[in-house]
Amino acid sequence: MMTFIKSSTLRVKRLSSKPDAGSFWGGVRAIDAAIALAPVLTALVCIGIGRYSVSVPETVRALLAPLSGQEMDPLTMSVIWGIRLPRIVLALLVGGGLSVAGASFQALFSNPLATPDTLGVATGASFGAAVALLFHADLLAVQVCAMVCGFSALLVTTSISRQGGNNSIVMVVLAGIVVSAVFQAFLSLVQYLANPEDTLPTITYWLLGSMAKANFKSLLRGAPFIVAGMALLFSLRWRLNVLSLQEDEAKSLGINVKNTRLAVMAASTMVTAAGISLCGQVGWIGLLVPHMSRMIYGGDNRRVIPASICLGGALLVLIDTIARGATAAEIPVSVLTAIIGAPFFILLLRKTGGARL
Amino acid sequence: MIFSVEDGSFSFKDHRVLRDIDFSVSSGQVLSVLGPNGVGKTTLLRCMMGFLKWDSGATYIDGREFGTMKHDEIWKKIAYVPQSKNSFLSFTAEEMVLMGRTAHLRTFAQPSAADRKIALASMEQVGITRLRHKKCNELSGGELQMVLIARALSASPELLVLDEPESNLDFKNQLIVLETISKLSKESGIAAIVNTHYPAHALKISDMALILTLSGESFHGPTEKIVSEANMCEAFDVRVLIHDVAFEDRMIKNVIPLSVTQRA
Repeated sequence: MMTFIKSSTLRVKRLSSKPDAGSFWGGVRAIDAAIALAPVLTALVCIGIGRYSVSVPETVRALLAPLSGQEMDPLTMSVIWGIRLPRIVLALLVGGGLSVAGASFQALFSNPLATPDTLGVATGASFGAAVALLFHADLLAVQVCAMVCGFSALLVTTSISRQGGNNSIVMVVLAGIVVSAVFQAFLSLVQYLANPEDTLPTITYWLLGSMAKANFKSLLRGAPFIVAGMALLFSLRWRLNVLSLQEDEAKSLGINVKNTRLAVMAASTMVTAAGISLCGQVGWIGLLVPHMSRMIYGGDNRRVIPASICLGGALLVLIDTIARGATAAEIPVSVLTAIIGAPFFILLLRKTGGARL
Repeated sequence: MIFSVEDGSFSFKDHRVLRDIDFSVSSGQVLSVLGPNGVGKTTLLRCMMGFLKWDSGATYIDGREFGTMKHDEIWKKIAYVPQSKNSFLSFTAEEMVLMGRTAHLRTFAQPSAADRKIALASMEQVGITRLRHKKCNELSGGELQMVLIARALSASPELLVLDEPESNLDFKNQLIVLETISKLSKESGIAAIVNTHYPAHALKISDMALILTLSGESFHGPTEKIVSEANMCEAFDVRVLIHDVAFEDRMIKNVIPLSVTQRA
C-alpha cells in the first residue's frame, strides 16, 4: 500500500508542476490506473478472506476506525489489525520488492534471466540469514547478515562471469548456478549443524517461506530496508535504461557506470535480503512480474519499475491469500509461487514470444 | 572547440597497437580514420574517449586534459555513435533517442518535456520522425544507425565520434549516413571523427584523414593529400587508382582497388 501511495503522489506532483507533463506519461490510461490500483484493491479484498471472513465495506470501516472513532466489533478489529494487516503489508512489500529487484537486475545485466534467484543473491542471503538464526540472533542481525552474504554472492557471480571481458547471458546464468550451488551447500551444512530441538525447525520453516508470523514489530525492522531499496531503484529508473546498453555506450551517455551499477546492485540486494529475512525464500516473483510488466509497457524502466512494484505487491498478496485460505493447513508460499509461477510464465512466453526474449 | 590527441600510445599486453598518435579536430571539421582490419581503429576511439587508458600521451578538449574533466562535462561536448547492437530491452526509437539527454540530467532526475522536445527535434533533423514509436529491435540496420545518430545529436554535442557508421549498410543507407554527417558539420558546425573502411567515403566527407598502418606508422593531414595511391599501398597492401571524375559542375574523387601487392 505504501508503494502505491508513493508512486501516485509522484505522479500527481508531475501533473501539477508542468502543464504538458501529463502527455509525457502517455496520459493516464485505463491500464495504468488498473495497475496502480491493483495492490490496494487486492489488499482490501484479500484482507477479508479467511476462516473469519469480513466484507469489503466492513474492512474499510475497520481500517478507518482509529481515525473515524467508529465503534467496531473487537473480534473484527483484532483479526484485521492484529493478524491480517501486517501479513498483507508484508506480502505487498516483499512482492513489490522482489519484482523491482528482478526488473533492476535484468536491466543491469541486460539479461532476461537475471533475478535474485538466478544470480545467487537469494541463496547467499538465505545462507546469511540461516547462520544468524543458528546463533539466535535478533531480526536486525539476521537482515544485516543476509545482506552481506547476498551481496558477496552477487559479487562472486559478477566477477566469475566477467572473466574475459564480456558479460554474456549464458555466463551470468552459469556463474549464478555455480554460486547458488555453493551457498546451498553451506546452507545445508548450517541445517546439519542446527539443533534439531529448536533452531533446525525454525530454519526449515522459515526457508519454506511463510508470512504467517508477520507482525508490526518485525515489519518495523524489515520494512525500512525494503522501502529504502525500492525508493532508490525507483529514482534510478531512467539510469537503468542507460545501464542496459553496452558499457562504452552507457559511459558515453554521461553516467558513472561503475557507481550506478554498485548502487543498483546494493539496493536490489538489500530489498531481496530484507524480504528473505522476513519470510524466507519466495521464488519466481522476480522473474515473472518484470516480464509481465514489460509485455505491457515495453522496455522503458520509467514504466516497468513502478508497474513491477504494483503488480508484484498485488500478486504476492493474492498468492499468500491462497496459501492461507485454500486449505485448512497453510501451504508454504514458495511452493505456491513455483506451482503458479512456472506454468504461468511458460504461458506468457508462448503467447507473446516473451516480449522479445 | 578543439579536440586533440597528443602523442597517444597504447599496447595490449606486449603488443604495441597505437604509437605516437597526434591529431586535432576543430568545429565543423570531419576527420576520417582509415586502416586495415585489426590495426586498432576502434581501440583509438576507445582510448581517445577514455574507455581505455592511454599508456602515454593524452586527449584534450580546448586545451584541458580529459583526466581533469568531470564525466558529464565531457559527455555534454562529445557524443559517441557505437556500432549498433541491440539491448535485450526493447526501447522505442524515441526512448532510445531520449537517452542522449542523460548527460544533462541529474542522477535521480527523469527526462522532462523539454528534453523530449530536443529528442524529437534531433529525430527530425536526421529525418526519422516517422520511426518514433517503432521498436529499435524491429528497425533495419540503416534505420537503427540513424536512431543512434539522432541519440548522439540530442546531447547537443560539439563533436560526434562514429565507429564505422556505414558498415553493414546498403548503398542508399550509406549515402544517407554520410550525407547526414556532412550536413551536420557544414550547417551546425559539429565536428566529427569517423572510423571507416572506405577511402572513397573519407574523400567524400572529410577535411582531414588519419591512416593507421600495421607497422605502427600513421599518416595524418588533409584528406586529399593523405589518401594517396602511395599511402593506400603502404597501409592496406593494395594497389589503387585514384582519379577524378567530372560530374555536372564538380569533380568527384574515385578510389579503384586494382590488386593486392605482395610484401617481401
